Amino acid sequence: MSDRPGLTEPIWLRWLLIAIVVTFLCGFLLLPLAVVVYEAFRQGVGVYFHAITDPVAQAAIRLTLLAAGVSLALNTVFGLAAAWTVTRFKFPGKSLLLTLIDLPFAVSPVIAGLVFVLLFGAQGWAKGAPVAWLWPIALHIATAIPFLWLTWGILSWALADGRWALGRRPGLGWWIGLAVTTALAGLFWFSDPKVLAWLASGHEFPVVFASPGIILATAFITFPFVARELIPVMQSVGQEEEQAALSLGAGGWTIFWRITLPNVKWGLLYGLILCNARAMGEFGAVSVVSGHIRGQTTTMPLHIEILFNEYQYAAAFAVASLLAMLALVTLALKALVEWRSGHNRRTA
Amino acid sequence: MKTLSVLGWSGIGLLYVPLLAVAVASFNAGRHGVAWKGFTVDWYVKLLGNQVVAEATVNTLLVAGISTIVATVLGTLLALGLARTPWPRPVRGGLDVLIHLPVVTPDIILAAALVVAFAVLRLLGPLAEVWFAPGLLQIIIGHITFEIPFVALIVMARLTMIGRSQEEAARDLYASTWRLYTRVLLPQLAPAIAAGALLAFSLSLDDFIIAFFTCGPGTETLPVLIYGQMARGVSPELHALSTLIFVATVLLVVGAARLQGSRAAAS
Repeated sequence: MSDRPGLTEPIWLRWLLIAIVVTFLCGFLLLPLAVVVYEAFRQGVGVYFHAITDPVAQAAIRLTLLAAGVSLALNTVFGLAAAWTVTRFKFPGKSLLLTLIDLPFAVSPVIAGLVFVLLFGAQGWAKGAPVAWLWPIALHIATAIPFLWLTWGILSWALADGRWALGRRPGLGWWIGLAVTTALAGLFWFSDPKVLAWLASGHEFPVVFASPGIILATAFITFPFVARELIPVMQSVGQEEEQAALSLGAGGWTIFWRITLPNVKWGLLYGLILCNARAMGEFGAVSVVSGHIRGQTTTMPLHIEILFNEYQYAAAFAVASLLAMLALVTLALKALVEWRSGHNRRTA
Repeated sequence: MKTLSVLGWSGIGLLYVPLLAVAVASFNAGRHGVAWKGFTVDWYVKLLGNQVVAEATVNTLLVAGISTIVATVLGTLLALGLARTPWPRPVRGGLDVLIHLPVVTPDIILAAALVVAFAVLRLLGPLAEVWFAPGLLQIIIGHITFEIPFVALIVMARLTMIGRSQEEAARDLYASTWRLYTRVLLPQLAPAIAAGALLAFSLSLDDFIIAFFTCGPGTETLPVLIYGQMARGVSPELHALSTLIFVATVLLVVGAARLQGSRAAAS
């Protein structure tokens, strides 16, 4: 209908507009991506798999997943808390808080890394401070959370009628999920030689030039994603249902688990997906705090950079293609969430 | 639910107190360590006289400015083309993936791929060799590449929100394409285009890895410069520089929030 002549712009104008941009995108986006795949396989499949199964690469993959996982867990909690604070309370300085939430978007990652080096570095403020022992405990707990979260979610989804289990009364699936995740988290921790070494040593806990610094930097950089997605959703959902629940005598946590969280779950998931994409690809901040100790403090992007600078293009692009694959998975998940949430809205 | 609120504030505190630490350190008279040796603005004065920093600042602003302008124009055109053309369904899906791809692709992949792509382009001839030598132009092209989708996504969201009825009304009243664009569509899109441009600008200011991979001698941007100096150890000048950039970005974010009015427009 909209194609009736006179109702749209001339056809040549439309195609000119599209041609300009598609050419540009193809030239400078698809061409580079094609280069990645081509370079990765140029020296054969053997070299590709050797690059990926290399112990240093494996350590990098492990660290990337760890940093992304902990950031997801921390930012789920902080994102929900921040969005709740902003949308459910009136207080002076609210716009300041909103600006603060957005700030990690605006602060250059290199500067964010610099901050952590200043605080925890060789001459840092927190070095040897009485709170130093707090960090290991906090980070140990934080590392266990993503495993809890993931397995809990998957198991209770599977056991609770295929429905997303959050917001439902804790049932059998919940308890099984809790048990399995606790076991998994324990297994993960005590299979890590670094943790064993730490337990055996005099409990030294370096932050900068070690994985805690990388985790902290990643969490900082990805902080706004969840909150930013949640705030508009929580604003548009409004408070009526919560107030109704309150008037029926529901307590704070019941309201949160059974009304607020189910209402915002797709927004939350969407934010987490974006957060994950950024966490896995983060370079600037992580690079500053990492110290580039091969096999110990290199994440996948850092590993790629090192290989690249050593002119090991095939290996560098092999790891890069793996990272790109993770990005594609992220994209697929995002599409799935969009489709599911749209589906829900229509059927609701 | 006071608990959640307290948690939210403490989380923000945990993240932002360290940033203040850098600002405090930049006024510390002591050169080494963090012991307070008195208040001074010497580091800022030294910074202003630093030729290398001045050059990097000019580079950063040049890259951010040019890439923002180009990316905003191209991104807006892309959004118009995508949202206002009756694409067949599968094509539409493919274009959607294409436009979201740069948003989720880690920057390091784009950076490494750009380096190789430029190397390939340099083989095309002597003129191409000059054009695609590492330098400002490369950084600008790289930044444009990853900024376009962000601008396009924001403008597209706005286009979908506006709907087509006003356009059709204008057509009914015999508006030409030019008048339609300049009098009906663009004024309505202006806030989204501005928001997209601001986002592109701040993305360009922050970018480290693409500039790091594609810059040549003398064309470092500020993040690359800071990174290079940090390899030689943290210094008070570095803290001063970071504080200045930090303040500038805060002003930018606050300005963007003011300009946008409603926060929902951007997401």
